[in-house]
Amino acid sequence: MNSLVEVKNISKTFGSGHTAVKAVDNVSFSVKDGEIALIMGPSGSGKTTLLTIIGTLLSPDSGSVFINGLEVTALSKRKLPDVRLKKIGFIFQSFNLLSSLNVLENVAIVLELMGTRSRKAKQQAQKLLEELGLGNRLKYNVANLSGGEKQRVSIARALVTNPAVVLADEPTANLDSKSGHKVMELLRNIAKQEGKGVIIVTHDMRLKDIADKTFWIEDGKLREHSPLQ
Amino acid sequence: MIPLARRNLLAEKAKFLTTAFGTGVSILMMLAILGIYFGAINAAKAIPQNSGAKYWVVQTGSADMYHTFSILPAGMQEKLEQIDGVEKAAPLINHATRIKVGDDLITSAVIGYEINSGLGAPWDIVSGQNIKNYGEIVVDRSMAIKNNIEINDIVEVGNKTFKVVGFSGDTNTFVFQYVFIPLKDALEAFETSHTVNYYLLKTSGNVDKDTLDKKVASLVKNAMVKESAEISDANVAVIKTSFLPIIAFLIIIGLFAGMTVIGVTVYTTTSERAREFGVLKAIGIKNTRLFRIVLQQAFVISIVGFFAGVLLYFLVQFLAYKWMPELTFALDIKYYVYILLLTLLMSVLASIVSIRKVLSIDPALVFKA
Ligand SMILES: Nc1ncnc2c1ncn2[C@@H]1O[C@H](COP(=O)(O)OP(=O)(O)OP(=O)(O)O)[C@@H](O)[C@H]1O
Ligand SMILES: [Mg+2]
Repeated sequence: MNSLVEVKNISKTFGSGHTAVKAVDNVSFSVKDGEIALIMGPSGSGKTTLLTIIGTLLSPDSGSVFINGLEVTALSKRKLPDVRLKKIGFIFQSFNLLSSLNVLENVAIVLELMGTRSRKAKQQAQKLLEELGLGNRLKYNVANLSGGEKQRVSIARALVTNPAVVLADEPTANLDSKSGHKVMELLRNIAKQEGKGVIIVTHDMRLKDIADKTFWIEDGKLREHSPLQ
Repeated sequence: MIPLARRNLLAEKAKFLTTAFGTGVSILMMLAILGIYFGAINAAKAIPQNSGAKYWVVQTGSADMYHTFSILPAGMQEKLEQIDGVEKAAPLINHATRIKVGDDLITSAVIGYEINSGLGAPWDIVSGQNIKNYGEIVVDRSMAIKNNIEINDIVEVGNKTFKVVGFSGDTNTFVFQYVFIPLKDALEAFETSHTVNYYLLKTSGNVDKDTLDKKVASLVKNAMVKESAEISDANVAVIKTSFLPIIAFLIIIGLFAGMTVIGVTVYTTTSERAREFGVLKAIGIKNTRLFRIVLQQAFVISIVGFFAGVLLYFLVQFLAYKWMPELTFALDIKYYVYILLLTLLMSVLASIVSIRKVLSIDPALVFKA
């Protein structure tokens, strides 16, 4: 099995002098295909910062990140959008759907950004949304969806480009327990059936049930939980 | 292609309409100021241009019909008609005075023209009919509306009374309006039987102006020949020097105001969706595509605003025609194109400011709740 994500000695400090915050402190870990890694930790411990760095939206002060074998931390800034578009799917706590587009368009637009023709993009998006149980919501205004439906749309958006890696920040935090379970099930399928590497950052203990490995981060330092703990 | 720009704009229809309307009002302001300016210019040209004569005999030194005076001896038309190539010569009186309508005195420019020649006659009778007999008068339409003059009313010019037989269009110069009476009546009314102001020459074939000028000068003392176009140009120059600085100032303010509205509108439309643009950046949109979306939003607002503005301008003209007849508008199609281009240019400039904002959005913010 390949490492889809490989994080080596990543550090990130915000600010300087005595207001400096070491948000990520010499973190290393890796995620293979079909694997779900869970990163847990108290508020302000550096979870989001770490995920943002892996997602190439923030560059670390030191260390390197490999996505599917490509050292993204060595790439010029100009090349990063393309890496994100093709290799990484994002799932956010606050969904971040585009409010002026309907459900189908929210998913299809990502394919269009990759250069897929409009009609084909919509067909592919529709197929995926149907698989996620949203076949009867295609033309809905996203504002009218429930939280769970919104998160499924955003999962569809993250998956539609068939990325190697899916990064999820608190994917269940804004959901009731039933919707949360549904999302967990989907995340598990993404890893197990599609063979993607999934990294989930969360407070939600329930997610431990689907994780292959669980990390604990505190003051920017990461350590792996032994399965016995 | 999913039309994100259009979706963004139409997502809030009321806001979009308000925005387009605001832009439209700015466009209206620019069109209206220009329209009034060119209306005044057209009015200044109207009398010489529509006189039916290519050449005017004027007193030496006379240039325009407002600031320079022209006095010539009366009764020279037969002599002038002897000149080769002159088909018809007719005297013209142009006399600014106050005419009496009921109890009111209205300042106007009285044109006395030779009714048999037709040279110098009103050319656009919008209601009633043209002068056929002595003792008849045609008054400017806007003057008639403003002063409640009706067909068959009696008005006084100088020491004579006239019956209103028609209203003329295109004879309003903002500052004053024209009325038309027969030459014979004008000479009597103003008691100036020995002098007229101009002679209008209708020529046939290719008459050389210099030759004509020499012949006229030898027949009429202190006279020279001008093309009617020279006179309209001189009239326009007077309007321009008195009017243009004010209008230019207003146009500049209007343009700035209009452009600012468009710019601010485009900018706020973009800023409002900063987070969603951030999401697109996080997902991996190319900057060129982002710029296209912002530009499209700007163009849609500008173009819809432009057509709203043009519609409003037509509406304003229509209302002014009814309720403010002293306002005349004229705008060549090319100025609509200029304003449209300016509007588009402004939306591009505003888009550049907007896109800088979009480019500066940190896509990492998408992880913040
Ligand atoms: N852009 C930034 N500038 C300055 N400090 C920052 C920035 N982003 C994060 N931090 C700081 O870095 C630390 C880690 O923040 P981070 O958002 O990664 O925490 P988190 O574990 O995701 O917390 P939460 O569970 O509340 O989401 C915090 O102390 C935070 O204040
Ligand atoms: Mg966080």
